[in-house]
Amino acid sequence: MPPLYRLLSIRYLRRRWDRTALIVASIALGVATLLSTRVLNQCLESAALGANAPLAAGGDLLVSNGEPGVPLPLAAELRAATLPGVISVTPLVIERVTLPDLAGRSAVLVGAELDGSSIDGGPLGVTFVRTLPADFTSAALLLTRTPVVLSQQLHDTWTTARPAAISPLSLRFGSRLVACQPVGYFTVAADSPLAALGSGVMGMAVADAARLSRPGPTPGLAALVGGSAGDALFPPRVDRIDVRAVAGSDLAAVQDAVQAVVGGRGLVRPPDQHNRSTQEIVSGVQIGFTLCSFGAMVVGLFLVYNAMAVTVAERRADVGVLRSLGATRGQIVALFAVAAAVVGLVGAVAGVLLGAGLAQGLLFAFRGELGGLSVGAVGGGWPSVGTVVLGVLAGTGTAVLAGLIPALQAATQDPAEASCHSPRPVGGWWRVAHLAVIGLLVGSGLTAILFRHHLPARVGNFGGLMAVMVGLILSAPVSVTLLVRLLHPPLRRVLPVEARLACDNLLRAPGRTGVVIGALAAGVGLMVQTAGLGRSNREPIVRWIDEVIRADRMVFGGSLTDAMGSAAPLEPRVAAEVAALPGVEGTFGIRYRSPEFNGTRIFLTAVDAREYLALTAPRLAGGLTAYRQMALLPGNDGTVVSENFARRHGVGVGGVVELPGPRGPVRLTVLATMPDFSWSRGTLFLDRANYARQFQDDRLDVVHVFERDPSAAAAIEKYAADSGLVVQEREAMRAFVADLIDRVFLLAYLQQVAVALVAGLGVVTALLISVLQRKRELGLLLAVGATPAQVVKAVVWEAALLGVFGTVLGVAVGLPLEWFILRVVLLDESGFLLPVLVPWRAGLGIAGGSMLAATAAGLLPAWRAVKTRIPEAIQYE
Amino acid sequence: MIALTDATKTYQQGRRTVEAVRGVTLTVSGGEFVSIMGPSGSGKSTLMHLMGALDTPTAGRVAFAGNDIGAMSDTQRSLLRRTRLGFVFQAFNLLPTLTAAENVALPLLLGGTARRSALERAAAGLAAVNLPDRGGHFPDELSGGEMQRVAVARALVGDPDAVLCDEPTGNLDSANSREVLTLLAGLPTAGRRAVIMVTHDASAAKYGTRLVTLRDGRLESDEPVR
Repeated sequence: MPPLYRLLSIRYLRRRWDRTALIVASIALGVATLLSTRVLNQCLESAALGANAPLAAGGDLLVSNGEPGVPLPLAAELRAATLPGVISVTPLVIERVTLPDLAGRSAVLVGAELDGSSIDGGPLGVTFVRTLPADFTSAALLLTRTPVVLSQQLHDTWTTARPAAISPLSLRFGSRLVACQPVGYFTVAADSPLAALGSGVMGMAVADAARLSRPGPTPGLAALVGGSAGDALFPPRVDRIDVRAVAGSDLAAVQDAVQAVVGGRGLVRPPDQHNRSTQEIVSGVQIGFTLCSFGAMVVGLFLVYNAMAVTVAERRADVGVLRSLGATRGQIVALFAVAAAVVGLVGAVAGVLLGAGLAQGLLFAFRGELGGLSVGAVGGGWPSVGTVVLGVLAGTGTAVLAGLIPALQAATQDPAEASCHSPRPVGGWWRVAHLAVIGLLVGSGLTAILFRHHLPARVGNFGGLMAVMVGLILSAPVSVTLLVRLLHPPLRRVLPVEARLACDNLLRAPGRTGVVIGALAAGVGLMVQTAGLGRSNREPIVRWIDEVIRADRMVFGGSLTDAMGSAAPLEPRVAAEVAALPGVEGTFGIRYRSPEFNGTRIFLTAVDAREYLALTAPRLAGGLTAYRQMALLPGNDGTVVSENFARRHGVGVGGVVELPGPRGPVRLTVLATMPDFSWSRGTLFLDRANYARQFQDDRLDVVHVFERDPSAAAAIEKYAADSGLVVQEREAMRAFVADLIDRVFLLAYLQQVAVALVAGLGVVTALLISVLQRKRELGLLLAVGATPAQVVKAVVWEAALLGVFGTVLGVAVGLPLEWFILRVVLLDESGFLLPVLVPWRAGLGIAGGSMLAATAAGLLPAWRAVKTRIPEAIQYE
Repeated sequence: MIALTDATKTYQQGRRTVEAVRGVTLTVSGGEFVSIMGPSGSGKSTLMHLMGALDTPTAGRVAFAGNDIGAMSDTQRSLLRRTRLGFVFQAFNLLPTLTAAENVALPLLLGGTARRSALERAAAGLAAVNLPDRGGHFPDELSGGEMQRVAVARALVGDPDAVLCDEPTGNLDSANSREVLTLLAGLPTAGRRAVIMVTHDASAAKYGTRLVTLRDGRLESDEPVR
């Protein structure tokens, strides 16, 4: 930095350290929110992709067919076709399993072709070391156990933990327990796609893994299909086949050639297209979080602008001196820009550190859900270099941007004018430009919202909302002036003299106070909106869960997250076995799937509909209401869809939904719609028998158990313990869902608390500036006999009034914002039509807290005010 | 050196148009110490702003060394002030965040002079105004007279052709006033440097070689000091 600016800018910042610290804190909070959100978004995306494609593509094209998978023999067909441009064909199965012999730790099972001469090198980039001796005993063990290879770390753990040298390694996938025999261990190259899966990886022959992941049909299912079981009719199915192409070949031509061989058995796509449907789901949440964090930055920007504007006003005399000594306009702009950049940089660095800590805290709160979502390891949650650079640039850029207008205003003053004692009032064209920018932002934002269906996805809703919000904050000085003018006459009559002085001061400096009130209003508005959204989501969803889930207990594999997913499937016999336990009235099983449909991933719930109706309806005083259409499912090939599915995808009763099935697309006719909040992209309900037949999958994810008498509880617990399964009571499931909603909104709250804190700092800044600007006036008050207590009251009253106006405006913005998010953004995004509930209790708390915090923020400036030396204050100016 | 030809300056004060300087014609040459006097509102400060290239005339012409100030760009006027003019103000106008030496060095630093060299010249300047030991002090640690002497040192550090002073003794006691005025009176050198001082104090004006009187923005008299 040139010595001139170091001398003029840094020295000034040090002298005004308290204001500098407030600006630094504002920037730091904004950057911390931005950074932690970005880290969380990255982990969310990594977890979601980990659920869909946990292993990075080892090829240029992926052959997949959703959850039914692609037939393993297709890999051999592709090789036999010797397609031009194709180098390798690699079938893969990837599942998360648990290892009961190793304290139940989880591992990633990769089914790959291990039965060749060597697995060294190849697309997976591994080096294999055999540890099982090649002798008769080993050969005998491998006759009854499934051979596996372990990652080195897992192998070391197993070697230490096994009771005897020839002990098997048990593997649990849902309710299936498989005895495995480790043959050796492997190490992975740093660039191997396996490296991202973490240290707990085990390899299995692809055919074995395929049978474990998608077992062949039970005799009952074979009878339903009407054919004999066997590989010809029910070939093992893998998750995907990676196809690697010759470098520089025409990938589109290779894709067409591979698709021609695959036919209707799967889709051939490059990896980025393969992941697009998953990214579509995550991106909505990511944009929401990112917008909240940008909100913090925008509020910070206005406060830095405010502080910089006052700094310019305060240094007006300095500008005059510098100009008279020959400083050019450019040097004056640079002087303030350097000050802003330095403050921004310090704030950004502090924000990066704070954000990294905040991200760790947030990931700790969501570790269960993120871990449950992903098959592989979810990233550690530390910001990447790119994210850190972005945070630093955002913080510094925000400060420079905020300082630019005041700097330009300072530079436009003529030296003779800048030397004058009284500042020139803000020029007419600045005022016109201000109003024009407000009009432009609000107008363009509203236009974008109105024409959102003609714009790229989310641009209209989110972009428009952002533009309107920024416009509203910018308009705060105008609206505050109007509000204060309106309330000024009655307030003057009823308030004590100190409050009247405070009220006058607000009216006198709407520019300074307006921006702070706007920022406070933005913080309060966002918090009220979030509280409203929380209530509007929580109450109907918890009520819905109360009605549709009436079972006393649920039996499933893995964790509560798995109970609502398909990561740990159970064999169909589990439902019947639990139903036969003493004291059990009945059971029904549910299979959850998430197939691709219409460019996104929807939810499919296959339920034993007849049993559901028979067991659930008697437990409801008024009978089934939400799920009464379930009665249409038994014996019917069609589907009942959730109301949000019908809205979002435009498929109504009589319409057809086509999903990927094991033998090509499965067409399902929509029989009815019903209210359901399971999934934001919509849910299909099928009778499980129908699903099992059409999708060749009769497994379960959860068994709902209805008890006849209390003795059932112990029997169910014993059964689950013996089978390695988990049991939860209905109340625990209900609490889990309610808690999950609360935690999602807690994240939003945390971001908005940051906005509110930034706004609170703004109140302190504004009042410190007010005290500084009114030094002469406060000195005069003391000189004519005002007591220090009266001066304190005047400043604190001003803080309280800032709080009141900010809170009133915030609530006035927050409630319409809640309506907009629920009835426009959420409706477009998910199709959910939720009631708009006013968050009375939370709203009162937020309003009270906001006003109290603003009043408390006035204490430091008030203390400063009473420390004023009367002679010095009177000489001031 | 500085030549005003029928110079006029008007500006807006609310809805009112104020004619601060009305058709003044005046020439100041090197070696002169010109005192400008007049009652409040007579246009003294505005006239000094025009002569010091702090402002441009609404009508007429102000030239420095034959160059029309009104025709110069803002940057050219900045360069002119930085290299050929020096200013001393009534309120000292020292930057409170800088030490005395740094305040003196400021015009040099603005011109891109290296910090060390600028501070060396500032130290010499402070010694010339009898403040050799006060370079490290901040303005709030100096007396009024000391502050004004620092301001004089700052005005002289660039070796200007003209020093313009706006009520330089307005905030000083009589002893300090005498000291500063003696300092200013010693600045003009034959045919080289001019000092232009605005004052309302008749005794201060006597330190000059020429007295110009203004009334209502017009030149009332222009005569040598006896």
